[in-house]
Amino acid sequence: MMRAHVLLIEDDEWLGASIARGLAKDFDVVTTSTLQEAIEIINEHVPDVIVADFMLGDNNALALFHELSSYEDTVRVPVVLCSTVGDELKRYEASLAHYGVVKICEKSTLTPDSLRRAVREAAALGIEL
Amino acid sequence: MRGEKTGTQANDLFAMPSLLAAAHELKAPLVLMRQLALELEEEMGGTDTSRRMKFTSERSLRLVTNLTKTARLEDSLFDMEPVEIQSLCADVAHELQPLASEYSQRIELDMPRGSLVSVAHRDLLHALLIGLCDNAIAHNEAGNKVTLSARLTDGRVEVSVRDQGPRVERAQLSQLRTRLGRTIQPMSSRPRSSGLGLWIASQFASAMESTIGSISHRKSEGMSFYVLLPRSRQLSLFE
Repeated sequence: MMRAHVLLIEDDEWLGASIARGLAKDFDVVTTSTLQEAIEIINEHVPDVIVADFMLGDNNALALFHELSSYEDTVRVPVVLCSTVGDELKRYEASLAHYGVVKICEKSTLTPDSLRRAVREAAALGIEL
Repeated sequence: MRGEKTGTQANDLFAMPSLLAAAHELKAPLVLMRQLALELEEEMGGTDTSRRMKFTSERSLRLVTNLTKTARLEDSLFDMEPVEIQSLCADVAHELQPLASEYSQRIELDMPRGSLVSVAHRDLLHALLIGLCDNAIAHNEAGNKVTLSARLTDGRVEVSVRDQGPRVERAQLSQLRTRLGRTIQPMSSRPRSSGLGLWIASQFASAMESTIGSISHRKSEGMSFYVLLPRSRQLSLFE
């Protein structure tokens, strides 16, 4: 069975490397720390799932979501948001769903297994769309 | 050429970040340590995992310890003493080099030839410089360097920490205030930072009758944060 391609966007280098190692058990993972690089990677190859931190440098992931929603080939890429303000973001779940966010995870309680499960479910949703 | 100065140095320009922003800055390393611990639990981590847990916990402990110190600064004036800057900077560089190496960075010293002595609180100045260097490492990229330098300027001792990370634009360096005069964005906050570390540095500087300032360098040449200290005249008889 083919492994889903996951783009991980995390601006903390060590956290990104650790999360990527956990995801690599089940998925093919590409990691980046900036929104600009994420867009360049997506232009080369559209991932099956995007796992993104919300606060990224001097911007937030909404800037990326606006970009992705503008194009036919990226508008349906499911997104798993992972953030230290994940619990607060859940209040905006309905609004974020318009941008393809299918799951919001709170980093302080996330486990590698729960993240892999979230990405598996997101990948399955992506196939259905 | 030193690049643009951001205006006169003034400790009150490094405003205390909001409680929410500061809490986020304290939460982030705990999230990282938890993630690294879970990695070890799943037996996926290597030697770098436990090493990074150590560095992250040390960073957190420094931040919390320094935050605690800010509540007790009124005692620090009694412990002011002549401090030889070159040896203090060498200690700081030596202490943080392992952390810098973990990020594939290096710390370099740029010191004058003659002895440079300031009047300072040794522990506060050490903690202030460690904080500025840690901040520089956090904003650098792999392969970058942190330069710790010192010089005599206008009769005062200037100790500077320079990184190669993102600049803070001029507009951001202006203090933003609401109509009620409350600061909503700390000066010189940079990506991924609430400015808590710089606020602590400004408090330590004030306690030593010193000031801190920043320089935003041109193009991609990073930023410098410096502290201006009173010069000690103790050795001047031998000059």
